[in-house]
Amino acid sequence: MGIFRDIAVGITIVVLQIMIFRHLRVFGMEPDVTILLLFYWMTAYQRTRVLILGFTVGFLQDLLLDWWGLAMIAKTVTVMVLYGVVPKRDDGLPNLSSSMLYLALCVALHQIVMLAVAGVSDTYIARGNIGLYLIGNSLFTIGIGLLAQLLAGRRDG
Amino acid sequence: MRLFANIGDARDHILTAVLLLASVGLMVARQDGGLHRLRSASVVVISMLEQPLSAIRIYRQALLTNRDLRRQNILLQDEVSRLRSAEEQVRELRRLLELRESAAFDHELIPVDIVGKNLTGLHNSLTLNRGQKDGLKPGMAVINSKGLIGRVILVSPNHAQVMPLTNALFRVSAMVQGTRAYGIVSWDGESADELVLSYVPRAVVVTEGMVVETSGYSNQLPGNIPIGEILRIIPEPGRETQRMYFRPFVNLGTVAEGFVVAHMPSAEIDSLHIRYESLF
Repeated sequence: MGIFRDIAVGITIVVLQIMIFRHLRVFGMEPDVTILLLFYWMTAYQRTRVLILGFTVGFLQDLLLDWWGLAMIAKTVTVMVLYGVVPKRDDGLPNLSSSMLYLALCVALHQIVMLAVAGVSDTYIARGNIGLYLIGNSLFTIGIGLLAQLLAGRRDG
Repeated sequence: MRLFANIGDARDHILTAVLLLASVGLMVARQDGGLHRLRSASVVVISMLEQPLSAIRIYRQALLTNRDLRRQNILLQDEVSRLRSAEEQVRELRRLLELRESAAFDHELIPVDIVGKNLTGLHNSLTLNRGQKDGLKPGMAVINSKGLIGRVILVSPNHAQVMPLTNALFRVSAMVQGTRAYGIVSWDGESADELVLSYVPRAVVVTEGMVVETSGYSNQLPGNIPIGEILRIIPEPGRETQRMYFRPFVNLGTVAEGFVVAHMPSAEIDSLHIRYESLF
């Protein structure tokens, strides 16, 4: 049942991403909170489960944003490459700066894969300023992640 | 344990390969024009999802549009203001051109711009952008299409100072058009809209609305330059003359361009005056 609950959370996050976060544009940059969810899943669950959850969320994102394949590939590759690197919650949470570093790595890889696949498939994502898309969106997403981490830390504390 | 780990790894690799293949398959299907129904459905779903927040987006967009429109409005107002100013200038220049072409004067007309004004007291003055180098000399009349503005008093190589009609020291010989009633025009320093024509004999019948123009008899300014229109006539007490108050045609507050009439007093007439004065 746990996986269905996570899929429901994933659907909610995708809906929030489309309804709210996609419109929080600052100087053309927009955050992608689905990567934060993916990062959380990587710290909490086994790789097989994260692969399935990441693919499902990516599929929903692609379906609703007409990206078809971009988010699915980006999320699957990110999980496959970085799962072994990202620290696990069972091993004890790393400090804030380490968490942010791993998150930055995750976000950067996700965005790079997405851009690369978009370039190959000629999908209309980030046809404008690629640097802005890559760095700006990544920084914005990391900023949201930092905020969420701080809020979670305060609540736990 | 290691075996299970290897099996788990192999499973994940296979799963990844399957997922990637599925993704590529969907991508290719989209490129080939497939997934049409699914894409249509996604458009419907996303429009439903975005509808609740569309008001906020429209409001944000309206704010941006409003800001752009305000900026554009300021620019347009500025442009309209400049166009109005240019239109007025063109109209005045056209009148000046007509004046020049009408050849009402036998003298050369030197176009000038008024670049400075001091109209705050009894000793008002104007500054022109032309001077000695352009042929301006003290004593020359300054006019525009409406009439007399003043007289050149001082000249430098590139600029000239003008004594306008509304200067307490300004005097010019004038007459009422069509009557040959002569007098002296002056300004009493009270109102910029009123000049005085003095020493006109009471026997001469003058009515309000008649035009006052230069007579040319003083050997200072050429004759027939319009000065103003009579407002009221008052007999001078104890004298056989009358004073006429008249409104000048030229509004010195708004005048910006004009001509200097290259007319110089006749040296022969001046010499005769001096000889006549020396007899007494």
